[in-house]
Amino acid sequence: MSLTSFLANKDVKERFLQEFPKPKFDLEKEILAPPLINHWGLVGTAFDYLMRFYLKRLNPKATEKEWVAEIAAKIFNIASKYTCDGDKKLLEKIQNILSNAKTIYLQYLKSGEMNDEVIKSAILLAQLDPIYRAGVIDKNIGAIDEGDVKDLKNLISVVDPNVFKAKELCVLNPTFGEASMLVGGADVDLLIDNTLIEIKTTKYLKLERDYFNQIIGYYILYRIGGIYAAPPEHKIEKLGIYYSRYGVLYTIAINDIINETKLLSFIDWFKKKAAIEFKDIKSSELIAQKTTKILRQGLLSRSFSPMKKEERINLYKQALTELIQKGGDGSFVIFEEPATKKFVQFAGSKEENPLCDIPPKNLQQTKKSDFES
Amino acid sequence: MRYTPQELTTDEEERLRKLREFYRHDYGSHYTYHAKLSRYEIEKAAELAEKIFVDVFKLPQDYEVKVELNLENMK
Repeated sequence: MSLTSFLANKDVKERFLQEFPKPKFDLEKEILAPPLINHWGLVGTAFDYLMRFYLKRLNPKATEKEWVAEIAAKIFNIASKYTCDGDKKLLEKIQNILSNAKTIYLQYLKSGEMNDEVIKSAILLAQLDPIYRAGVIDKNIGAIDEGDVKDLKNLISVVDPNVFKAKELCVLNPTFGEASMLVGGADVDLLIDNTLIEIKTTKYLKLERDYFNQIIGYYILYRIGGIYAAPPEHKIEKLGIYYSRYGVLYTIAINDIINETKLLSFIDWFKKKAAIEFKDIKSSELIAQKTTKILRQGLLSRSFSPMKKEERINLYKQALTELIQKGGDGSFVIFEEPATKKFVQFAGSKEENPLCDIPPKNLQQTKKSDFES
Repeated sequence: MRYTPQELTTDEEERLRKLREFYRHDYGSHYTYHAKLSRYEIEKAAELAEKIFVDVFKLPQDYEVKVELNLENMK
C-alpha cells in the first residue's frame, strides 16, 4: 500500500493519462555510473540513504525525518514480542545495524569523508526498508556485496553539489501531512527550495509514464496536505527526477503540466478514489497490518495454515456446544490466532449461559513509547 | 478464564465498544468487555467471535485459529 500501488490501479492510470499529458523529454547524456551488479532495488534504496547523508552535509540546515529503517525496526520490535529466539537474534542484529549506522552517519557529517563504512551503512539500512514498505524481511540482512559498495561509490561521485545546494529550504524524505495516509503512506525523496525531487537509480534515461505519474501524485498530495517541515505558504513550482546513474536532474515547471482550473475537481476525485481504495486507513492500523504480515511470513517457528471462514465458524460452534453441554462451573473456551496472540474467550457451562469476555489493555502508553524516538 | 489482558490498540477498543453486543464491566482497578448470549444462540456466538477477529482485530479473511477448551468440574 503506497502511492505507487494506488497509481497502479487501472482507473487511476487512465485518469492520470487523460488529465496530464506527458511532456517532451529530450535529455540525452552518456551514462556515468553504469550498474555493476543486478541488485537494482537494494542499490536504489541505499543510494537514497547515501544521497540524504550527502545532502545533510551539503545543507546542514536540512530537515530530516526519522529514517524508514528506524520505523521498520520498531515494527519488527513489536512483531518480535510474539516470536521465538531466532527472531530475537534478528532483532538484535537490526538494532545493531541502526545504532552503528547512526554513529557512522554522525561521524560523516563531521568529517565529510564518504568512506566505505558510510556506504555500507546505507546498504544495511536499505535492507531494513522492506519491513516498513512491504512487511517483508530481506533474508540477507547484515550481508554486504562489495560490488554494491563500488556501485554506490560511483553513484555518489557523480553528484554535482551545485545542483543540490539549497538557497533556503531542504527537506529530506518529506511526507505530506495527513494526505500521505490517503494512499497508505507516501514520502518523496527530497524537497530542495521549490522543487520536489524523486531519485531514480536506473540505467535508462527516459521519462517513463509511471515516473511522471509518481511525481504528479506527490504534487497532488502536497496540494492536499502540504509538506512536512515546509512553511504553509511555501510553494512548489517544479517537479524533478534525479537520474543518479547519469548525474542529471530533470525538472518540469508546474505551470507547464498542470491546468489549475481543472485541478480542483481532479483533487476531489483523487481523494474520493483513495478513500475507496485505502478505506481511510489510519497510521496505527497500517503498522498493525504490517506487523501481522511479518508475523505470518514464517519468521515464527510454527507454520501458518490459512483457514476458511466456514471452517472457523464450525470450530467455534463445536467448541461452544461442548462447553454448554459438558462444562461444569469454571469452564471456558479460548479462540486464539497464533501469530498475533489475539484471542476471544467464552465462559459457560451446563448451568450458565455463554459469556464472551475480552479483557483489554490499552496500548496507548506502549504505542507512544514505542514510536517516539 | 484467561485474565491476562491482551493488548488492544485504541482503535481496536473503539471498534469493540461500537459492537452493540458488548458492554463494559468494571472491577474497580480494571475492566473488561462482556457480551451475554443465550445458550440457544451458539450460531450467534460463533459469528460474534468471527466478527471480533475480522472487524475489531482486522485479521485477514484467512486467519488461523486455535481452540483451547477447558472443561472444569464435569459431573
